[in-house]
Amino acid sequence: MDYLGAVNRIFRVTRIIRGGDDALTDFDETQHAADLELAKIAVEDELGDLISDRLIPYEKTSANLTSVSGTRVYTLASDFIRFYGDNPFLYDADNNVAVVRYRGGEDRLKHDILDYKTQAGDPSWWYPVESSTKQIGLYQVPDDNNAGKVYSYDYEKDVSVSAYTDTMPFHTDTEANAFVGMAARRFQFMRDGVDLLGLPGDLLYGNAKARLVALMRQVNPATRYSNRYA
Amino acid sequence: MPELTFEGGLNEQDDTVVDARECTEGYNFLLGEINSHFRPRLPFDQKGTSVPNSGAIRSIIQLIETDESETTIIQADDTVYNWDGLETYTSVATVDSTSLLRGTTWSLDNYSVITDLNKATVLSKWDGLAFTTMATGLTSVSLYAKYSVVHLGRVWLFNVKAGSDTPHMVLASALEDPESYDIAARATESSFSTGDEAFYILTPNLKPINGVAKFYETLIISTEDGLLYKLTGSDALDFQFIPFYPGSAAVGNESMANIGNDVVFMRRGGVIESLGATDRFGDVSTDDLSIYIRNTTEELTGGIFVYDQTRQRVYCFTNNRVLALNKNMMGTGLSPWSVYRTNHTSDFNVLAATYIRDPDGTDYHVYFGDDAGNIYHLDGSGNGDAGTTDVPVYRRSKEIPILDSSLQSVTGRLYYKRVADVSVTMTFEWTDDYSRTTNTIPLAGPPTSDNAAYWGGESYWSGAFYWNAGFEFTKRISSKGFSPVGIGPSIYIELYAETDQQFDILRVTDEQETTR
Repeated sequence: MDYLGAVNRIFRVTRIIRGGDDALTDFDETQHAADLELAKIAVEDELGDLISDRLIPYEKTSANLTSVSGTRVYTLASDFIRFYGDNPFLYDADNNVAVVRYRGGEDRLKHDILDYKTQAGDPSWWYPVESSTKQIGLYQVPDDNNAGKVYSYDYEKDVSVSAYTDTMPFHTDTEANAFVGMAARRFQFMRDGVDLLGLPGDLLYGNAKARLVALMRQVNPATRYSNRYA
Repeated sequence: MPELTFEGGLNEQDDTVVDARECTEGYNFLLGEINSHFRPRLPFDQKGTSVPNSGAIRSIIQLIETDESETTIIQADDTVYNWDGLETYTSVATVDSTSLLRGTTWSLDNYSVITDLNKATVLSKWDGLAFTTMATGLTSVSLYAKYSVVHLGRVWLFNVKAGSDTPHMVLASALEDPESYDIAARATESSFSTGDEAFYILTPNLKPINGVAKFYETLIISTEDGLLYKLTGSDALDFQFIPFYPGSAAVGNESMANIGNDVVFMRRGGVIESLGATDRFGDVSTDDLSIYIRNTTEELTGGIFVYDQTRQRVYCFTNNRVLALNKNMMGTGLSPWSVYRTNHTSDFNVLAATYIRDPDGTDYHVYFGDDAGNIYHLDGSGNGDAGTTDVPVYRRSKEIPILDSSLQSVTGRLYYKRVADVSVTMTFEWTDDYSRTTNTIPLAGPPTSDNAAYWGGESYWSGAFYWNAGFEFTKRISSKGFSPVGIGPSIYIELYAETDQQFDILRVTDEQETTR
């Protein structure tokens, strides 16, 4: 299911599309302009909620960076949110070597190694570089002998959607449908001018979210429920 | 948002007196029998090919003889053609290129009496075979006339020139002899033996005659900057004109027309009135028909009025527009007006318009010509004007309050009949925000086969279709939802389409009221 499909399903669930209405074919259509904007917000907010929880398997991916002689700072993948897992490292598969994070980051490094920005050699550590984009620095700075090394890294990618053709980050339509159930309730609240404070307590919303989480977890959920009497 | 329907026409008065069923701006929508629909006017069709000399169409005159045979002649610049309604034009005469010929049928002898609004072509006749100078009985003088009417067994000529120009003179032929006139014998004052003789009358105020019409059995004339007179009497011994309406008179040369049970005319200031209303109420501003469209008409100084009896509609061709007055709407309390415009190159640049029988058929239409030798008729059936040009259609509502003040937003549905695939643009002008937002609504036409299988499958209960042939989608009611971006306590809704197809919108409703 793509973003457009999710919006169309929201429109069908909430009876925006009915009668002679056709499904949207892109986001440039203006027939349901206001409802479309609300539906997009509903999808993006619900997805943002899931992304922040790192519930979505679609988030894990990997990328490479290649060392360049004399270059200290490297830009990470454009959809990079954060490194995946604990103690993230860069892996040089050719040499079976890991470049690990310098504990304390650049702030600590600059005290420990005063010439860290220029000291050349074989990189052993990486550290985050704070700038307007997602970047890391390598220490030591690669020299000619260590140029061209390919380092792979696992990270969580941005799975939010923007273009109508973007794929919804779910393995199956069943999961996507459950997600749409959540988004549709948020949309209905927004469309009717109902305070969103009531959304977490909405039964349909809660049911859809529980269904989605149950579908996404990698192990079987509990097969039976009962009241507990302490 | 209350339900929006489209019973009324254009009403340019203050918003506070506009009915919600009317529009404050608009053009090219169809009115007729009162109903709630928003439909485009029918396109005009081009008839046949252009005239051979590609001249401006200055006259369209039709003669229908007592045996129902018909001939139609067209004046294009200086040439008069006999036209078969298709592509055959036969030149039958050469006239002054400035002439604007007009015809009146003299049924007794099956010919048309031809006058000229510019009095540049001598009084003539067309008998279906030949276009000839008409005998007048006058010696050594050619007779020119601006208007002619058949009334009480005589041909009456108005605003004539016989030697000297006498625009205030009326000539009446001898009884049942339209080729006998007398410019020396004055009605009531001359010696007449029987009263059946030809005679002349002058307008009482001696001002030029600029309009003639028959109101039931009464002959009405208008004088320039003068007033309206009606003819009284029964023969040469007692015919005279007496004041009918002292308030005003028509402007222009063809701004007066019989519309069946009434006469409409345009007077100074572009005010369009009816004699029926005038007769009842006198010279007061409330009796004018154009009060609804004063902004459109106030600068007008004339037009060609044509009454379409079939469609009960009066057309006024003026300034590259056609004002359409729907008789069936008069008296309903709603504006009976629509304004026609076109994107076609002819641009309603019209010198001649008339209501005639289709030269190649039996239906009647209002025919008009352009300045490039093309002939058209209104209320056609082609795809767009002249079969080539999309027709822009537009309506703007009065201010509509939004009932749900807590939301101040609109979601609604548009109900329509499936006629053709047409995109309608709805523009919402929000008060408070002063913003304009747009929704494009794709109205669906019938599917290609126009057959709907019952319950989706190809067959139902073993037959090919449910009860033989299924049903047709055409003209079935359907609906489309919409939700404009915006917020505010009230809105103006504009509906616009530019299409060569027809559509039929029934109403626009607030969806929240129906779904909550």
